Amino acid sequence: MGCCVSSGEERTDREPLAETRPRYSWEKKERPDRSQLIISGQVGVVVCRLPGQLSGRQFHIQDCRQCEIFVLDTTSSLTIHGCTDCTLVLGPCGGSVFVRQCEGCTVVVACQQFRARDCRKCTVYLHCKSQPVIESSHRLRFSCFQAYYDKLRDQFSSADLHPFNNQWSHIHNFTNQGGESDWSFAQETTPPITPPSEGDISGCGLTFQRGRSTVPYSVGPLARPTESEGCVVVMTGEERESRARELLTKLQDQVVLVQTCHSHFKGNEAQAFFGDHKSLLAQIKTGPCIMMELSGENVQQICHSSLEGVPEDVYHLSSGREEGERERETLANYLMSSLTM
Amino acid sequence: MGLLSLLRKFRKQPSRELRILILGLDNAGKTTVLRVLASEQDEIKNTTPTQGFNVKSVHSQGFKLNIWDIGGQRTIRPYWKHYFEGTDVLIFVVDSADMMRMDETGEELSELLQEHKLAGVPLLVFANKQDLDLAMPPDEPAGYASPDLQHNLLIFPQIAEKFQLTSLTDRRWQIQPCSALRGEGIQEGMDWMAKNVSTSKW
Repeated sequence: MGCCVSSGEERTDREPLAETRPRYSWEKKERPDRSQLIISGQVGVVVCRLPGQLSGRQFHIQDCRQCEIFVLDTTSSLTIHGCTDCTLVLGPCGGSVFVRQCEGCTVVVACQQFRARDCRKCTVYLHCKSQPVIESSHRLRFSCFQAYYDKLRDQFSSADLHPFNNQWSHIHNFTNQGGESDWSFAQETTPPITPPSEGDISGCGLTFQRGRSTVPYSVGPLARPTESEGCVVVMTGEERESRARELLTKLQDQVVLVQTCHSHFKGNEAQAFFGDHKSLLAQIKTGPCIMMELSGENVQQICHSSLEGVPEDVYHLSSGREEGERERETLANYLMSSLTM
Repeated sequence: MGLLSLLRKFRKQPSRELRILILGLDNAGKTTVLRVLASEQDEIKNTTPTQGFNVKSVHSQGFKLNIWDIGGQRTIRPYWKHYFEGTDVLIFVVDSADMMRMDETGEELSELLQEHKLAGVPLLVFANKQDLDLAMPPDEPAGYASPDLQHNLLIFPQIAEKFQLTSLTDRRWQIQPCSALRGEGIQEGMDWMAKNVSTSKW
């Protein structure tokens, strides 16, 4: 068998390729059952893929109408094409999610990349590691990913995503005409979806209840309350995530979570970004960390009392209005700069 | 792979400067290809959709290599032409797992091949994302390729036909299956480029 298709000139002096040609990983693997990886042309039905059924495979949803589609597993790539009035709940995708020519859909999805083109009147509850992009779309509404099911946290890790690394609100519009007709932030903070009560999926623990979500609800920097006090909380150590979640549970409704990240700074990266903030820098140098920007009246005092009992060497909290202001600006700049390529 | 080792590969060229242009539809994997060429595999999982362009350059002993990766959204494809001038090799990246956009891909490529400023420029088509489950299988016989072509086009007859590459006479071209994500197939593409770039312009 030949190596590649190519222009003819060279063909005669080419060595027998069968021996020289490398064997690629995709040639060795078994072909999956494609029918399990495509949902096409369904109308008015509930379709489910349960944890473990896809395990990071590619998935494609096409030309469905008035369906409820639950993909509670990891995927490597997701395309949603030509769907109308559907509800789509999609587990962590380690690659890109591409939504095209959809109308009237509600989409809950976590992914490495998010792209939408030629869509209308869709609401997206989004977790995205990079900057989400839209093109030639109208009346899209975005909100923060909000969902929980028992295997979801582990699936984030399998997909190489972290629930706190969420850039959902940094939407880039390739066809920006100005105004809000193309996209806006949704007012709703939880998806209006009722988990199916029958079938195997009912045992997955799926819920959209506020406060249960695997991804903490953040408003994004564009919706940061103006004039209110700001602060940065850094959480390090083995238990950083559970401690951060505990803090957020305690804080709920008292202050606003603006944005979050999970970082592990290498080399002099931490110094380069946070060199001007000695106490914060010292904390993030101790290892992987969760950083959270919070905002609200007396936010620092509220955080301080909510952190009672947490060992002092595993967290940093901005101290004073000025420091809070400076630190949140630096964190915001750091997060913006992480979106460049 | 690394830009320096790439540069060494091309150093035999008579020109002191080499310009590689990476184009393709949005979501084809152009930036991931660029990252592999620049030995930035660790960063692949951080890649953001390209809004303008990315460029990687390396200079060594008077030799210069520039690789340009231009965003592929429909809205910004009209800007591709600003990057044509002086291109030595065109890399066109295809998402082999997005069957619904093969027509769009073919149309864009055929328009590129008619561009005066790209006339004669060797074309390397990366049939990317072979690691994905719904990727166009390389070894499936073409459903609509003419029988006499199947003999020579054992791999990717669909792509070659769709993009009308088989009728190309004014340039060298190659379709290379790859998974930029896994770094597979890219090296072979670069080897082909190194062999074919010199005879084109000089």
